[in-house]
Amino acid sequence: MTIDDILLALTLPLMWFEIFLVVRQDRERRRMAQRVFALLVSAACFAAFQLALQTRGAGRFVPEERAVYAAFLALAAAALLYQVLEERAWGRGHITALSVRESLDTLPVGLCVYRKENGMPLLVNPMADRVSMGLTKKPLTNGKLLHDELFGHGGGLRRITGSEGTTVFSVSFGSVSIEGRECGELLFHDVTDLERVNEQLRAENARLRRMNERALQLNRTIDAVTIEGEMLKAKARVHDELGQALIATRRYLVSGKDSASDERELIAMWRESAAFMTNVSFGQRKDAYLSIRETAEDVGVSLELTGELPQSEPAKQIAATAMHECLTNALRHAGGDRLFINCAPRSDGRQVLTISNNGRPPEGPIRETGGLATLRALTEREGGTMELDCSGRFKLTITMP
Amino acid sequence: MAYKVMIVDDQSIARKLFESVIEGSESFELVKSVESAAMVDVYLARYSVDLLILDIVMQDGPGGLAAAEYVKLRYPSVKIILATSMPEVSFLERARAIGVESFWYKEAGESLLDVMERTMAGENVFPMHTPPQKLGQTLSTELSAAELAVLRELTTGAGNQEIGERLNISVNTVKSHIQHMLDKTGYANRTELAIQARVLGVVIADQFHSFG
Repeated sequence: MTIDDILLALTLPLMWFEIFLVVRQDRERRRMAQRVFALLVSAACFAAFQLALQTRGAGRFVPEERAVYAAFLALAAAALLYQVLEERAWGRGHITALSVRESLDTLPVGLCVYRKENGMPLLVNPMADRVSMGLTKKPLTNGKLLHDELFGHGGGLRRITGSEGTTVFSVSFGSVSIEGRECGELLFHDVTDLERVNEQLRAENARLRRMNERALQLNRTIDAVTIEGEMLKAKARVHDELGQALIATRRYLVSGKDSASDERELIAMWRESAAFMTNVSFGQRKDAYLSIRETAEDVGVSLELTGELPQSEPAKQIAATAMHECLTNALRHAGGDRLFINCAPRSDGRQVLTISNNGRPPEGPIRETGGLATLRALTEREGGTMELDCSGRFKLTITMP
Repeated sequence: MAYKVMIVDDQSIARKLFESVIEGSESFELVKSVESAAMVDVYLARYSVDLLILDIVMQDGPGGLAAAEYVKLRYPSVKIILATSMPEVSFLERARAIGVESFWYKEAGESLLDVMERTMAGENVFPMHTPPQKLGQTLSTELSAAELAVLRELTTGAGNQEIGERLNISVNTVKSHIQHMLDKTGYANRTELAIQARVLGVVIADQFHSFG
């Protein structure tokens, strides 16, 4: 191979590189001047090659021709090198279609854009393709079909189980406009870690709910437990006092002493213990009506009842509250010592409670404050009615719910 | 002339103690001794009372605080001594807010008679602070007011979110307070903390019936 052959052989690659650059720059929509320059260099290489072939028809280049040709090739190579460097510098400072493609391919989100009318994919990155294979066992060839399959069962999370475990994707759908045409956009977000944390949180919340329920249950019973504890302490104290009285009495009897003062002390000790035993009550819960009856008796007010008081809630609470309020008012305002209570069923089956007293009638209209206001609120909240009659003697009428 | 006293305490042992104190003093006369505050308004309507000794935590009906609030409203001339054996910290503050004249811890050692006499002399007798209660590896007095508020709600079985809403603080703040209390007390979990705090009476969530 001669030098002339080498020179000729180098000409064609130069020309093709320049043509490649022209095509690439056209795709990148580079400046016209750059494209024209590359085209000119390519044309010059072609022309030089043709001329060299015609010249070589005579056999060999003469030294002057060889030098000129070599210089031309050097210039063309330098121009090509310049263009390549400029191309690289331009690429670093600009977003090219290739860089967009590379970015999409490396997105951590699966992306599929397709024409809505026929489902033809316009843009699918590798992750979207993998997700489609995992979910539907088919490559992504139709975006509309994939959308219908995913959202036909409702959107949200989708799980793909593979050899490396389960991956959880969140699928979302949107619309984009490309060149004036409406296109669909499917996005697949890998939320595996987030879903795992959510599951842990759900388990933790369930555990906390169970603990809270136990605490609530405790709180419902703790009052009774605390009081039972106090009662037990009180009973223990009584037990201790009785024990001490027994021990002291036994010692006295065993000692054989006959001491009046010791006897008096022992008797006093037993009297005190007996008083505790007979008078101590350990806080049994009282019925509301019984409590009112005992209190009324204690304060010297007699309760004269006709009919049957309600025994089921909420009527019982209303009746007890009404009796309590009327008892207080009879003492405080009317100076009465008898309360007349009647409870009878009405024709519609509802019970009617009326309460009056033998005290002074009210001096004017009664302002419903405090206890009466509370009683009305309670009655009406439960669906009953309350009326106050102050025209003569005070009279309260409640129609039970 | 002796001051007329009414006692309200659901524990008969405690009532007997108060009654024996009154009987042993010439300055006081027992008017009534009852086991529930539910009927205190009836007795006050019937009897003239100068001094009311009210237990705070009672089994039935309204607690002493609710009853005290009612009595202060309807019978402002009646002086009130609130009594308790529970070290719940908010009782002292609430007693002051209601305007009772005095406060007495049953097991603190201070003489009830002394408190009664000083109260009727016009003094407000309040303990300097709540008696410390051992709570795990710490004392109840080592917990801050904010921590105690969270602990009080915790004993009702409320979750962190609900506690935050009730106290108007963030969920993270609630979690932080609970963790601090667990660190201080050495209890294994929030359930144990809540149980111990409630059983020992360090905090008592207000479930008392209102009065009237």
